[in-house]
Amino acid sequence: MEASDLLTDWSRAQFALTALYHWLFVPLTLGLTFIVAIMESIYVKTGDIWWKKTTKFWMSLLAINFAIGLATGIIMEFEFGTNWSNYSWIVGDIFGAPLAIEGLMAFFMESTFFAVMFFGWDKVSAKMHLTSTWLVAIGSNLSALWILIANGWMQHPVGMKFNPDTARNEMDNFAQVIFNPNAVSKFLHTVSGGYVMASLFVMGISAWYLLKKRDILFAKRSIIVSASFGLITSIFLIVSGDESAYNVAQTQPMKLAAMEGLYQGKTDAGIVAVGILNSKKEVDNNEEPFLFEIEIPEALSFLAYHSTAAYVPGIKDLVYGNKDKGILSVKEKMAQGKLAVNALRTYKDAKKINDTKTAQAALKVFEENQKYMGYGYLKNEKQAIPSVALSFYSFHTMVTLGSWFLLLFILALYFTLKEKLQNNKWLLYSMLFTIPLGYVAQETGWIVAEVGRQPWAIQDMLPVGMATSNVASSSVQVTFWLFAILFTGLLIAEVKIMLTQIKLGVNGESKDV
Amino acid sequence: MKVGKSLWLLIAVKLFILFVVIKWLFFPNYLKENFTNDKQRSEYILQQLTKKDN
Repeated sequence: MEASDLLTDWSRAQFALTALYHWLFVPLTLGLTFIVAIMESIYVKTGDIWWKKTTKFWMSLLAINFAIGLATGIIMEFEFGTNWSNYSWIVGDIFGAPLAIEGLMAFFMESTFFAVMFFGWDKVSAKMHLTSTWLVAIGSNLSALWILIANGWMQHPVGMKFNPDTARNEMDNFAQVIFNPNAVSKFLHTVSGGYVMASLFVMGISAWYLLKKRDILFAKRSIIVSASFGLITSIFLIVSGDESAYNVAQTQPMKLAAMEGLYQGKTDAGIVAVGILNSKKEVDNNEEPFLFEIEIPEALSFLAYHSTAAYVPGIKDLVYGNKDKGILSVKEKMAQGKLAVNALRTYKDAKKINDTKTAQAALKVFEENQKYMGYGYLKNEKQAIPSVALSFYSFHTMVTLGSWFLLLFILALYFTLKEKLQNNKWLLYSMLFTIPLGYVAQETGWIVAEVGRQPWAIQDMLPVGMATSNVASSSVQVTFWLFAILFTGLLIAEVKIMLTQIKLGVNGESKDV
Repeated sequence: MKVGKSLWLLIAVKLFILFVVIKWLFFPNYLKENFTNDKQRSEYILQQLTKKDN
């Protein structure tokens, strides 16, 4: 392995580690803020002190999650500056605006009202407190909005122009950046995933109380709120997931093909409901892609293009091209990309010696070919293929778990309303043991999104290998392990403090927080 | 110890580790450390993007 590949791999591993750990904390905050806001609304509406106690208990777990997760995302910004400086420079102007808005508007809004929410129970009126709780929920979700707009831009860069003099992308259409369909669907799918995650969390812990036969009323009420919220948001999760897959099909067809293990494109393409990939399958051999598969006919064509008869390009089409379908091969894109890179070099050199004529001619060639500039850095066409196994299994794990969650919410709600939940130990245990599955679904979702778009740091524009800084891979390895230790420590602390708080129960929290 | 106090302590220790130890010792901003102005940074990135062994 070349030194530059080693550096790229360690930089990616470190970023993945940081992002995955960070995402253990975020979705719970996104969803739990809304759940406590709903519970507090019921308290303010009914005046029932038990709802206040219920709200305060879940708020205490929210506080633990928030405090421990706080600032874990900032490490990714450190990594941008140190390990990914090429990338940071090139995207700087695009990321600057959404992240600045996130910092100024959403984060400050969230933080300010967080203080009122936690410390203002007996210091402000009930309505003012409730307003603060809702504003925390809205603020934390707005924070996610701006971050996901930035991420959506990397997946589908729009609303900018590359400046060949500064090597930066400059925003020329803010509306295009914020209403980027990829970003909008990503935001909706991500936050609704957080709502489902938080619902599973509340439901699972409440199930534990019922199994222990304690705090029964509190647990039942919590289950009704969380299962209802979870059911509604699960449906929204499915709708936003459909929209997200549609956008992936339009802008990242290779990711979709990898998610489905689809090597040969076809019309009436089906979705693999269950399947085992053939590890011997490569894009250039004739092995079968699956050892075993059960397919839902025509579903992929419908998901990707909203037509059962639509043609869905496979990995082979996207690598070797398909003239009938108007798909360029990676080799053709690599040729265009190399033209763009060479033209940029000529432009740069001509500008240095004030050769305006040559510079203008080179700029014209660059602009004609820059759409595929990133392909100019690929060494071979297979580099354009992401990990099919990781994309496929992550995607199918996420979808399978999402379906299970929907069923679980329906069952929980049904048995609670029928007053039969307490006798259903299998269901209570299912609710409890589904909490970690919620986290698995969250993480696999992000793996699909980020692994599926490889090799790109910015889609079609900048491969990850060109995005890194010129630093020693050993220094990245050191900080990788440093973060692994730090985050694992934080996770252990979170679990330990939360378990203590859960064991105290709804009556214990009022003495302790 | 009350959970609130534990959390405040944890936040303080974590922020110290993140901003003082990790950021200061391990995560210098590569372009800010190695170049003095944006013109130099642009030239460096352009050189990276267009070097012949890419």
